[in-house]
Amino acid sequence: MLKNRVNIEKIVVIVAACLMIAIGPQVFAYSCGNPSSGHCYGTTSWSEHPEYFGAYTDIRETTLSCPSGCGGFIDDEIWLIDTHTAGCTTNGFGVCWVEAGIIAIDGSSQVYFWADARPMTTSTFNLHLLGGTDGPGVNDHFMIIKDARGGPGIVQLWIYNDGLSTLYNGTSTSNPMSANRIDIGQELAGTHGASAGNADFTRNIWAVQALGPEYVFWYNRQVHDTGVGSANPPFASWAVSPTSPPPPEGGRFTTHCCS
Amino acid sequence: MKRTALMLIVLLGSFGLLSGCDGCHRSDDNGRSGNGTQKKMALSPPKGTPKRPQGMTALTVHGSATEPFTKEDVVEYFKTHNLPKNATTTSDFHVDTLEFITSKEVTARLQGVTTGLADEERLAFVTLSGTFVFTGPAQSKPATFKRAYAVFVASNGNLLLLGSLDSQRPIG
Repeated sequence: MLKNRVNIEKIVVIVAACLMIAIGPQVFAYSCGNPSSGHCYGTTSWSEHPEYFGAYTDIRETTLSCPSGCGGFIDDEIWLIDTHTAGCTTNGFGVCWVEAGIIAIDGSSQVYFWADARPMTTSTFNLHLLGGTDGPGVNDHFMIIKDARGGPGIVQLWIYNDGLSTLYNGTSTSNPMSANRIDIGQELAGTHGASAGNADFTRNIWAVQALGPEYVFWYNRQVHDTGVGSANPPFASWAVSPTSPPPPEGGRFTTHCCS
Repeated sequence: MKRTALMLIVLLGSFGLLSGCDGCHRSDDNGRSGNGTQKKMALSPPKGTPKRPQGMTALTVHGSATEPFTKEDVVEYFKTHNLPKNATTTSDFHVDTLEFITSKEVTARLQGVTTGLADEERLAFVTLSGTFVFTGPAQSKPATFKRAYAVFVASNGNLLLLGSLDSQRPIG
């Protein structure tokens, strides 16, 4: 009787091991790499105000991975977007934007990045790769704001952590965009293999005026939660609605990928 | 006894009202004015010297200081590495030119695009031809370009900057 029981237990262990080998690690396939259809997004969007002078979010870092051959990238980021100015609607993308975030590109470690698409006929799109990230669990700050201290068409951005051991600054020039939308969330490109743990986006706020000589990001918090789009993958949702009183300011939005 | 109980109720009620009012006050401070619109709040952008952009590991430096890598090195790199965020494949484009120029010259060629490096820093400016597709935020159109660029740091071969050169729309 005891011998039979031991044998059954052995069989169960062997079957379980076989199943684990057969099932995992899974490489999940998705279709986010077609040049004509574009990428997949797990984002939320705000467009209630005629102009957003800037955008800010805190992203709690997670591990992003896009192993060699994944055919694209995966990122967590924030976008400040102009969908209506004449020079932007005709720049090829149909929009201008400034974006900043954390990206894992096919076969490479994750890095901080920023990019812009300007209302221009040349050098429209520009992607800046900044350097390795702080690592999972660190709360990074991403601030983008129109800069009225100099000439027109300047947008400043900062990527930094609490101790300022990470502090990157970027300047988008010749970019007289008038942003009427803010997006936060995850973008996925490619066909298979990417992954991302849960990333939290908190302190979702927007600049109510351009940066002036007093050097202050004057802001209101986001209070709407109706703009969620989740391609599944990436998976995105509100963990804490921004309609709730703070803390956290502007709710807590969360993304992950790809299973 | 009844009086003591009544006093206790009044006291507890007062605490309740006070804590309620405190909540209202903080809510006001956190953005709501009397008419329901938010008051603007202040956040200071970071101060201090920003870090130097590092870029992403790419080419191996093996040549002289004046030519730390060659056009052939760049060609080999782009046989196995796509231009980040480009949706076409490595067989859809080729390397046209490689020049070592200063950061200031890169900015001039790219209509004011900043590199984040000192004006005099040497960079490798690479032009590419073929078909490139870049994509923006959700609901934007993927845009196709015939020319693109990549900028590598001359001192370590890291990929620092890339983007489109021409435009989809007809010029002129």
